[in-house]
Amino acid sequence: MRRDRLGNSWRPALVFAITLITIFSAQSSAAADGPIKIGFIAPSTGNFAQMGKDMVAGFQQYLEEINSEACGRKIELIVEDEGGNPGIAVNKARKLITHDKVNILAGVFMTSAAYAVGPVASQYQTPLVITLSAGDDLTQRKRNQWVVRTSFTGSEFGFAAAEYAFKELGWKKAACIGMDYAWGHECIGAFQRKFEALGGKVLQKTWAPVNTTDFGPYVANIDRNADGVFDVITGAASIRFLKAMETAGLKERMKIITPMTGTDSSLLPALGDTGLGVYSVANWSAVLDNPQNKEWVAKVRKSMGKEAPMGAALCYDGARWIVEAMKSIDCKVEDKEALLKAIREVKLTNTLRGELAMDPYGHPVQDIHIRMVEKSPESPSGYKNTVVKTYPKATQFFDYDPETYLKTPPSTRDYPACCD
Amino acid sequence: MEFWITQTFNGLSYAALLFLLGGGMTLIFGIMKIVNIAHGSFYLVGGYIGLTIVLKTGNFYLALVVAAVVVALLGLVMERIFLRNLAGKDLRQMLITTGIALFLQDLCLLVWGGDPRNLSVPKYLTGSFELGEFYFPKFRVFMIGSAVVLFLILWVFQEKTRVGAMVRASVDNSEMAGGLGIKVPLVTMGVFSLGALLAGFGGVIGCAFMGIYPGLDFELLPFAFVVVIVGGMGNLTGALLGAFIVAMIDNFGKALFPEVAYFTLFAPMAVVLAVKPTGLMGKSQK
Repeated sequence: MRRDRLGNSWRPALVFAITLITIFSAQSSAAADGPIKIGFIAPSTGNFAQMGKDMVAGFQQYLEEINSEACGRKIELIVEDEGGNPGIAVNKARKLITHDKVNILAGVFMTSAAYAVGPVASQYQTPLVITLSAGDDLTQRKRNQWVVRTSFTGSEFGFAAAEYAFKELGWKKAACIGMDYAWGHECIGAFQRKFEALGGKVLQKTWAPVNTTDFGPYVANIDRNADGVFDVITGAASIRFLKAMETAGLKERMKIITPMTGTDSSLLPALGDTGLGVYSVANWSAVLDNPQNKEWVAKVRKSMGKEAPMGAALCYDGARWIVEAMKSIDCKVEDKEALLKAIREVKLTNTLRGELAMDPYGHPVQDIHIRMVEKSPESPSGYKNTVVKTYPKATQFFDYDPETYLKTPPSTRDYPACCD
Repeated sequence: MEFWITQTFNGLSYAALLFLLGGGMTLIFGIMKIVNIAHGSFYLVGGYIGLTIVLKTGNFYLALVVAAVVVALLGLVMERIFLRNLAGKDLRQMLITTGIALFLQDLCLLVWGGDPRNLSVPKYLTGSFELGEFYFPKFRVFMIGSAVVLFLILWVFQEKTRVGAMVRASVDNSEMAGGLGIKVPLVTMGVFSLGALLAGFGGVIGCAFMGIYPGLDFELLPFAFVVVIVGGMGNLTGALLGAFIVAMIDNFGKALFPEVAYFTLFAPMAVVLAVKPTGLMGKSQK
């Protein structure tokens, strides 16, 4: 290694300088007829890698259908790994905005990542369209104008589940068990509020650590006096929990309702017969009976080789939402205020879920369905989530008055308080 | 009464799984003095291979054997090629096992996809034994049985056979053992494979018990560590004891005090580290 008179090796410094210059000159300017850039954040490693893959696949599929262009401009999709924690998501969001100069941020899976990326979107005044993540306050108490969502949140699912459980299933007493994180807290918090407002009683609210492997002790502790169980246990853990309920003989005695994250199409093959009869609250089902959904699900069966998962469905709709909004302002995406306004005001008619539009708080007004797992000869897994009831055009507040509801505290681990 | 019996039984079956996980790791640590971060990956690969065998042939026992053997070979190859040359360099060994773990996880994601999978067991292992108002799931009984049988086989091997004596000698003092004519590198390789075999076997059982998905490898690693630390590094009986104690405390902790569920798994480990850092049955390191 050559050294200068001071003993410093100048080669590495030179290489570093050249690299810096190359990086800075590689940034393209945002010309009004250059490509439209969308930055997409989804997990590609770790426990949720499959969800991330599904999300990207769904989003990309919509873009492919429109040849990745709108208003004559090319659409460039830049995907970044959300990683396992919000800090990584924030770094990636910053990178997408400052380095890749994206016009819109989309995607995001983890609620905690969404809460963290929201302020970044606000700081750089770039619209963030959350196409999957939940997190009530992103469109309620902590909302900011730059953050909107096209998927679902815990409050609407919890309210609908309570409504169905009390009025249709006739539950008077419910047991709640959820994973100990925001999704669990918010769904169960909402369920408890509505269930008790209707006259029911929540007997117990149990929180299990997110990485629980053995639900044996929890299942043994479920109050046998309850008429049913509302569980917010997601993904692979949902399979373990439902199997544990079955081996304990509880699945026959008590009905179970879970958000769609517990009986998604991606889980049905491994769930098998254990899933039969389990109810779920959802904003979409692979068997929704409209032409767009039927056609898309059939396409996905070929392209993904399995039944369409919710990650793909929600991000496919999310992509459509973004593109329709862009088209409504003639793709002048550099005018960020106009783009934001368009996203909030566009009305969609032919999404996989039917008609969609945004409420004043940045969350969709959409049909909320109650589904039940049944056998299905046509489905690749042999099972399907049949829609048994629909609450049409529900909002995130269900039948609560928004302003009144927003004055109440957010649902957390300890609020609403339980139980005597 | 029902509560205590059910929970004890649950705890025992959980202990069985933890023993399979931790037993392999403690053997590897005992002989090589390195922490094998890829241990969870052995479990994962074993589970996936078992899954494929069951899907292709429907034979659960074949799956157990094949998965265990394949993972043992994987361990053998890993030790021979990657770890042999790094003997004594702890940090590098740990780093390379971490790298291999990440690689294996991604490989599994590529081959089997990321959706959770479940292994179907033979019909006679599903359902439960019903004694009065008690349910004893048959598969949990099977888990306890396999762990006990495996422990006994390993214990006899370690204590009563010549090869076992060679292993114990290599663990205690590898230089002396080498001087006595024991081929220590061969023993090291063999024990590493054995540790991997246990993990692979555990993977198939675990896959049937609680499903499998990429990411499970790193989720289960802390459990293995806790068992190894509580039981004493390098000691198989310690692993059994450690697994039993940890599983019982965790199980009853979750059942009686769900608010401190996070704490119950690591509390025994913290206590042991404070009071007897080498573990309940561990020897002091040189």
